[in-house]
Amino acid sequence: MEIVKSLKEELEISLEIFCKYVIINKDKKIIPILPFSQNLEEFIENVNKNSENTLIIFFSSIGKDNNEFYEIYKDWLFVIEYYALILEVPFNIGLLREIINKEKKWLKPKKIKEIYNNIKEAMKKGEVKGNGR
Amino acid sequence: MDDKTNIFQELNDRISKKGKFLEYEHGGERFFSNLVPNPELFDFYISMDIANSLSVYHFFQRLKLELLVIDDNPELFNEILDIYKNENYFEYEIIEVCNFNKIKDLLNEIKNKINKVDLILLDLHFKEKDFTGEDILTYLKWNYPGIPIFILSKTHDIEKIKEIFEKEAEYFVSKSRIAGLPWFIYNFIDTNFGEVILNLNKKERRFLIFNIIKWKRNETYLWHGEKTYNMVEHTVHHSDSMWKLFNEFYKSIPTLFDKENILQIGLSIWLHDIGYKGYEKIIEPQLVRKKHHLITGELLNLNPELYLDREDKELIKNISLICAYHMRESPLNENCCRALNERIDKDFYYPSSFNFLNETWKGKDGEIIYLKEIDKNLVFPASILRMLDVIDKGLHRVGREIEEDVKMGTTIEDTLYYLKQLEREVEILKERIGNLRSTKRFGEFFNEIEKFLNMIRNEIKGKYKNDMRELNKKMRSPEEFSKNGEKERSGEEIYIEFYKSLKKLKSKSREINLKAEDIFSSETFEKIHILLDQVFYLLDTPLHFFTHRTFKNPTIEKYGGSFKIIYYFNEDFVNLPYNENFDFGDFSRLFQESWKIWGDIYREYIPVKNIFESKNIKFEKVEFRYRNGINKDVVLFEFPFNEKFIEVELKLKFENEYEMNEFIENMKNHIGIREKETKVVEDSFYDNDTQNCDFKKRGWFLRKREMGRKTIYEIKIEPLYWKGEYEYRIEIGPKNHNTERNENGGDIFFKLLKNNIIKDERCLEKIKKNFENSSTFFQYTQKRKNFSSNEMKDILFCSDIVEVEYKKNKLYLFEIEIQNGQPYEKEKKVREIEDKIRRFFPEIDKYIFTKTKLDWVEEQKNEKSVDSG
Repeated sequence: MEIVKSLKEELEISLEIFCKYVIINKDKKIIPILPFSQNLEEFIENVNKNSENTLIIFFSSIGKDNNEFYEIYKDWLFVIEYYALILEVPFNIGLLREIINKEKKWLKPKKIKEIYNNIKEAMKKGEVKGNGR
Repeated sequence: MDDKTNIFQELNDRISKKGKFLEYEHGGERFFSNLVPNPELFDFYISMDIANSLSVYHFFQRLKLELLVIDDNPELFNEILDIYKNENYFEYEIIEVCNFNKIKDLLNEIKNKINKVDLILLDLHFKEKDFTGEDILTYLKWNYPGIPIFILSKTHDIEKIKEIFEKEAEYFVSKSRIAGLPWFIYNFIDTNFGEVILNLNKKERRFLIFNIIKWKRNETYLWHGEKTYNMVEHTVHHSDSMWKLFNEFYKSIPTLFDKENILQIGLSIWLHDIGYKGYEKIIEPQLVRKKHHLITGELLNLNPELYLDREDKELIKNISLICAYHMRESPLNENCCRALNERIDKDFYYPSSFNFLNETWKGKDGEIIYLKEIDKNLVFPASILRMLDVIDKGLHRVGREIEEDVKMGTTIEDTLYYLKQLEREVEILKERIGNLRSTKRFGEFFNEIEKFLNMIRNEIKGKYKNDMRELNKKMRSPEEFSKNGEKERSGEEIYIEFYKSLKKLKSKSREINLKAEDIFSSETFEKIHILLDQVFYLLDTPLHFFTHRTFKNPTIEKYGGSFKIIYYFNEDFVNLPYNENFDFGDFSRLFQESWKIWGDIYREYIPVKNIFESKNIKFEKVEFRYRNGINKDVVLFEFPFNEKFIEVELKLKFENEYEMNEFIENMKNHIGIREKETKVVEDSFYDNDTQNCDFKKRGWFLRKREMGRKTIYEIKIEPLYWKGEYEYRIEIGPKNHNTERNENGGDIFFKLLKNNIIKDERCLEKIKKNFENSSTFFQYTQKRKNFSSNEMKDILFCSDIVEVEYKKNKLYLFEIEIQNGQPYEKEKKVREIEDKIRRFFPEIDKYIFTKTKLDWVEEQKNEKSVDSG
């Protein structure tokens, strides 16, 4: 079982592969997906089936209002807000399945980049046309 | 990879810095130098807005909003709207103001389009027009008060912005921040309506959102003319808070709700208390309070157009039924009635005095109108409404201090008014029974009730009023609450006395009600009964206020497979363990208030438990927490919804052994009990004699009981407040506590608390400090005879002859304790036995003993010491 060194590294790989599960426990250590496949094959199968091309990151035991956590991972807040499902431990398989089965649509990174640049561009044009400020 | 990561890093950077927004704008070195925002800051805004908007993409995919943009110069930003539109954030349509010369034509155009839009974006300034966006805003808010309007303007004039909010615009979006539009819309919807509305279809969602906006803006739409102004708030804040609770609850179990349920519960949350205004047939506040749920149902049926602008008879019928069944005494199904063991409100028997109920009922005369039989799909929403209603307690319902003072002041005046009414009713009753009133039986009763009313009046005008004022004042300096002043009483002393004297009055009132039941039919005495209930309700009001003020932010959280309810203590009103001078008195107060909340919820939960369980939902406990520093929660108490947590018993006290034996013989003959065993029991009580930690005076007892070789330690807590009829106590086990040799009473006390209720080490440490010398302070021996009964297996009968050291004093007690079942069942069983005994032992009242054994023994001890002194 390979333990990835940092969340940043893990997220980068996740974004690249675009289909990855990361579990972070309460000590903020990263646990790769492997434990799931050992014990809960059915679950994994379900996850894979329902979440094609989707990145789901499970942060466990970290409340949304945990400032410390956000401080540590501040460089990845967009990813956290955009992709992550923050859960508290212990959670059960039923809950996970419920969440995974729930439809959640994401924009792919390429699309995000496109929207980002286009809006920036349009905003600047609008400003010039407007009061010139 | 690199390119991709850069974009994410930039987006991350914007989101992570949004918290430091102000600092950036005003204090940061980058932007500090200019008065006018520079391009760099502008760039920062744009990136931040886009990042935020992107992060709520999934939300908009479910929402499918349609916007109407009213602007004279839309080409400035329609490119941006187009980008969002192309990514399915929303649909939009523009009304170009420059195409209209007269406001009338423009308004007509808006009118044509308004029926399908979800939200309006409105510009403020139109070039070369003699009307402005404000005119449109006023028109729209007058004619379509529920439609959300976002003002979209370039203005940075704060005065103007203030004005448009006064005109009830929902949001202000600066045109230079248009990139963040999806984020602003998300914020608005999420804060006000939450995730739950995403599951409704467009039509229902619009309907719900528009109504909620309308009701929130102007509470008179729903609650105009409420008759029960003394009560805690039950209008906008209450509904809003229930709505939030519903969202939290829903998030954990979304699959259990269908669209219909969501709409029904959503509307009921806002409409369930409109009955507090009364209606043509019921206008007296005391009746309105008791029947408000049914009045709500009737009002919704009588004038649906006033409350819901939709002609959907089925929906109106369903909402009115859900609202009508939101009180505890309403029969949802047979199990609910069985669990309740209380009298079902007589208006739920067919025929009811509420027509809307009769119209839905196809059964026979005299039958209970079960909601399940009218429509079984409404039972679940009605039980959810009940739970949300009872959970919503806290600061937000009691207004500001001045409002509290006014309400409490009015309470006294009102109570005196109801006492007058009571006296009048007593006179009327006297008239009605004519000559009978001079018979001994009735004469004595009237004497007693008149004396009682006088007693209440004197109490209110004197002690009650003064104590309430003083307490109210003292409660506001939480750190002083349990500290003794040099001359005056501490807040805590008044607090305890206040509760105790009310309890005394209440038990007297119960006695009178019982006697009345014997000699009058329930209809004859009903008016007096209701008025008495109202008087005691009013007298309780200050205590309700204190309880509400003790807490804030109720929440529901999923916890494993079940739910827990969480409250946070209000640090401005109570002293908390992180403060230096937190002591046992403060702890006891927190415990008492938490117990009240827990008791209310549990009583409401029991009748609907079966309905929740059929959906695999279980409420397990209530947690009471406080915040320590930023975002650090500390759980202070944990109260389980567990029947074993409380003890219900009936105690009878006799003058001498002969009297008791005679009673036991009667019990043997009539109830069929038989003697089982005799034990000699040694009871030792612990307390601490330092002034600040005397826990006995606060209703806490640590008892060590020795029976032969067996030793049991127990903490018994007598809550100051209970709404039921019988004495309640909390028992904290474990029954068999293995003690170590050197442990004193204090150590055992803490061990038991720690294992059962208190979850906060710091709190334990704080109260432990003063406890080191806790030792046995009192002992007595009792000879206990146990009895058993074939018929009533889970009832413990026993007789005690308590002997105190000085031998001369003996206490003769007979105890009836219910072993199993939830509180209602326990109460019901006690009542059944009481009724049985009453049949052959009419004078049982004089033997009912509500004081604790210990108090009695203490009294004897004091008398003794005075004698010997």
